[in-house]
Amino acid sequence: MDTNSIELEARKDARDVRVTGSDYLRAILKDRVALAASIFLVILVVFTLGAEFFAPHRPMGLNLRDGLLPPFSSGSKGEFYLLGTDELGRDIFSRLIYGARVSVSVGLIGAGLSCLLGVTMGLTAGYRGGLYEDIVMRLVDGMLSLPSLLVALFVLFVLGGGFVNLILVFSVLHWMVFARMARGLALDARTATYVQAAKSLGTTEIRIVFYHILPNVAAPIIVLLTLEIAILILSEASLSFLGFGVQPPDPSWGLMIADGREHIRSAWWLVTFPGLAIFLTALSLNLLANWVRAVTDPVQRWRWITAS
Amino acid sequence: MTKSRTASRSLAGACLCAFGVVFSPLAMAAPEGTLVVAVNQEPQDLAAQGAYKEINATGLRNVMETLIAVDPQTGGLIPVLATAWERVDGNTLRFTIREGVTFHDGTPMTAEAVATSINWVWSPDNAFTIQEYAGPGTISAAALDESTVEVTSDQADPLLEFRMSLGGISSAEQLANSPEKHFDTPVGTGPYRFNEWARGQYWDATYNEDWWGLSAEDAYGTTAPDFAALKFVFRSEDAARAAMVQSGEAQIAMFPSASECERAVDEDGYACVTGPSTTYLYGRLDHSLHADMLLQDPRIREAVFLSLDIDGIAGLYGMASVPQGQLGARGTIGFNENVGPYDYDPERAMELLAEAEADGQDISGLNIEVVGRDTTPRIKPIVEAIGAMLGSVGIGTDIRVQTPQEFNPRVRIAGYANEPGRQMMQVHVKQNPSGDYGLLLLSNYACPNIDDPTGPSRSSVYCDEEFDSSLFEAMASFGDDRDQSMQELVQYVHDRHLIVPLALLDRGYLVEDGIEFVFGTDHRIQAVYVDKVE
Amino acid sequence: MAYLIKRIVNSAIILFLTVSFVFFAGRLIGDPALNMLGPGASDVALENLRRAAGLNDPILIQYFRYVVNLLSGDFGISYRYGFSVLPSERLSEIGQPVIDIVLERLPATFFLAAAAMGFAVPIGVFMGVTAAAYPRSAADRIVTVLSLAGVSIVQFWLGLMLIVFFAVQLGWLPTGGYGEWQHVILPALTLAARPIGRIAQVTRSAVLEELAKPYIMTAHAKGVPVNRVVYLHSLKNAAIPIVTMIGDELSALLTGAILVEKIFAWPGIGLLIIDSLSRSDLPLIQASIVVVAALVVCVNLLVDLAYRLLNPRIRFGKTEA
Repeated sequence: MDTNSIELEARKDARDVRVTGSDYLRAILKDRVALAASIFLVILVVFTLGAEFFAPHRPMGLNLRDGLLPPFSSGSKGEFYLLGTDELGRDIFSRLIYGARVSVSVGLIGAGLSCLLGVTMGLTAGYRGGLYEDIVMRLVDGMLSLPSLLVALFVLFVLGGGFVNLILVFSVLHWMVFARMARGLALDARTATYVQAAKSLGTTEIRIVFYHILPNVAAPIIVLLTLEIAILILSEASLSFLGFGVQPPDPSWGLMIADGREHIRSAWWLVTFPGLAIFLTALSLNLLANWVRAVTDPVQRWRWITAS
Repeated sequence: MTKSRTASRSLAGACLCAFGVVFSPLAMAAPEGTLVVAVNQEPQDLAAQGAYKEINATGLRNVMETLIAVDPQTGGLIPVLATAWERVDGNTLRFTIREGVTFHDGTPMTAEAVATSINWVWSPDNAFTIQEYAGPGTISAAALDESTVEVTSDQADPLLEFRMSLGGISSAEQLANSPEKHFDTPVGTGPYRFNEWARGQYWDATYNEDWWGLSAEDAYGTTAPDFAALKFVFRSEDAARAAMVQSGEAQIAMFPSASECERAVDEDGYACVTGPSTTYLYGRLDHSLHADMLLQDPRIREAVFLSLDIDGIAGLYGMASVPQGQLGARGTIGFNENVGPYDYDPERAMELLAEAEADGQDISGLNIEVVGRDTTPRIKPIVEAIGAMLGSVGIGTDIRVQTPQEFNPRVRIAGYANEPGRQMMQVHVKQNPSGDYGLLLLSNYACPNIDDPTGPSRSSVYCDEEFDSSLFEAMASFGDDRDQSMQELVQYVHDRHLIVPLALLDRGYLVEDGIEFVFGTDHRIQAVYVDKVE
Repeated sequence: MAYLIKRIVNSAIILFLTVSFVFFAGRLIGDPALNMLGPGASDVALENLRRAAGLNDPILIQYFRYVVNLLSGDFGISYRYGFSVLPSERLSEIGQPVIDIVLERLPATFFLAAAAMGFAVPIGVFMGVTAAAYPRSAADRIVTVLSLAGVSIVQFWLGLMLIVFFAVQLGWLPTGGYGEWQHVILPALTLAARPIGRIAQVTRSAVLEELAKPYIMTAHAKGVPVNRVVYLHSLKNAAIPIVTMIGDELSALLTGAILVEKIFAWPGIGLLIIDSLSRSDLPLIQASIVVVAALVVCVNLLVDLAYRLLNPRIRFGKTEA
């Protein structure tokens, strides 16, 4: 057999095989980039949940005598500062860990809420059709064509910044992509045999949408959710940087960059580390989404899950 | 005492330029090149009134001149558009107008034009921001004859000369025929002619070859204009302004941060010069009006003051010195030598709070809102530091940095009168260029009048009839009496823990090598005080 | 044709909703007369202004007037841009129309966006084609990671880092500003990071798709050199999704420019928006948002239409799923 036919065989096999969790585990162990991304995200989540435990210093602890110490230096009382201190003598590393809590929860909750809203709208629109679908989809098209960061900026200017407002604004401005995707998937699913079967058994519409259609369209939505979390973390940083997001003294990565800007020529670590934290988080999420997309795609799946 | 680490070096520099160059109209080279100044904010407008406050309209005095001015070298008053002035009585000054001066639009500067301009700038109806230096009286002007203008305040006013050094004199023709241009196209009499204001970028001006100072014996400045053009570039980032001087994009960068100033020591090609200013940083704690009852307990107020490490805050600001328990600096009329700095004693603060609590005060209800305005340089770390210091003795805080739009109403009587009983510490900077405690006491401690929301004490939170009557008496007095009675008032407010003085600010510039720059405590950037040296 | 009309009507409705939203949200901030004159204003001055600006009329009348004025290009008078206090009875005489201020700033933003695309298109297409030419090679993986890095980076942070490196450490380029060609390089590069990533991704998958088609196989069999196959045939046919992506990114650039302009003191509409927000100049904020939204909606509309024109597989008159 030449390589082409081996490939074809593999493709056919992969399509038929029922994929289990351990297959995914094996697949990710093989992909070093995706593995690194997931390890980073796991560490991030662990740090976020256990910030009190992992942070070596208090994130708000004032220590004016030890301001602007570079990374790997010791303070006046012998304490060790891994990533240096800011101008108030607060430990950058500890603030990064606590800042992760803010940035990650804005991303998770914001994307989660917009996903919930969008998927509900999209699935019901796709399933029910008619005027309702028309209105929802026009709203989706219209809102998608608006500059969302700018609108968010204006709304936060009117309402005032802060954690809760930020999340509300994000949910209202980011549900449309979920809705569009969910509707497309629902349209496909509506004609699928398993739905027809459920219908003939007299299952209610809501049950069909959420118990039969939703689980079968979950994979692409998870990919989209991952990407949206990355986008929201970036947006949070931008809005906080401009002063319309999270308010001090809560540490947020965007705020830390804003604070460090004044010292950018003399204390590079103030701006570099929070920027890197945002970058690595968003990059990991993107890489992971890329990987999930590949392994859950029935056409590409053979590449990852083969009977080797 | 925390002092600027660069101050000694720079003060020496400032003195050198102050006395090193003597102006001589004969030693004049043709002006050439452009003086580029990197400034930290774009002006809101370039109206004549803006000449009073350099920070709001940096460089405007190169275009727009005043009747008289404060000499940056001696601090005394010198003639500019007036050649002489005399006091008629407590309320009145009489100015002799310089002859042969023309505005940049070609119209002659008559006594009539000067009076029109003064009335415009000081009109209570216009309510320009310069009103912060008016009051208690209302100022008006009239031309007596072709070369005399009389300026009157409706109340006895020992500071009238000082006030007349503030407002710019602009073309009366423009005010009459195209008032809309008054705000963005200044027409003055100065050594530079306004050219263009590119919004968001810069404003610039070109050399005025017809300037009266080129031929006048008593022209101000250390030198004739050395530059063919001036350009004021708006750049809010400290690092960006510094980099502009370092790379030669600009000759002067305004108000560098302390870390940039320190850096200049190690770098070639430019230096940092600093000098004292009349700007002070303070924390005003709500008191009589609309304040939560907790803040009227003297023990709680003292505890708040004791918990603040003022040395640390001044150090955080960078180029600043620690105030002596009062808002003014030594040398100001009314400065009280016997008042000492507020102590830093967190333990005592906690004791006082415990005492108050034992007497039934609900200390857990203490939640002080520490608020700064985002246009104040370095406000964020300072507000955060104050919040942390109060927190460390067990006082709850909310810290906020707000835009002027949110902040200003909360500070002024017209706005905060509508707020429920609150616990706010306003952290802010103010200037007192008058060299006298009068305006400072009036604006910070006199009871504000809700019916006069633009009045000079509109941003005070203190109401004390006894204090007010002593103050108004002191403000109308002259000489030693004035000094003595103001000193007593300084002690009086110190003991009541009303406003905590946080820092007396030095301000500095990054200056390219080959340029010498003289400035006074009012920190004006005027090309006739900027010299090219070999 | 029906689709075209439907699409235009839809855009118009969205813009109308935006205008309404901006008007009513603006009123949530508080009394516009007080906003305009500041807290020191006297009651007489406030009343004069309310009368002069019609602020005493019912809110729906004011809203109607606002919309009608917008249609004739009148977005109102800037509160503060140009003067700190204005005698209210001379409002219309002294005030500066906000639309003039906004239009004055647009060219700088267009220039920046064009320059960013000037970097992004060649770099992105080159990266994408390279990755597609050697699928699953090291080069492909590097391009994938780099392109994801482009969309993961915080633009304003990248801008600050570029300033530190190229302007401060090396001194090659100015830290910010406007006017000479040197000024545009760093902000344009900063802004280009994201579209480079997106264009590289799209190019890669579009070219891969083309390469799998029979006509390429045929060309290959006929002995046409691999390079020419890759670069000419497939790229030409992959152009449609790439062009669509470029259009898509162009509208993203307009909002991305807000922060980048702030960092680089680039006097475009982004810097204007930030300034007017910090000055609470409501008419100016409203006008900027409406103008930018209109631009973005128009760009999206054009991209959508271009996509349908270029792509024979999608017929007009039928909305696809």
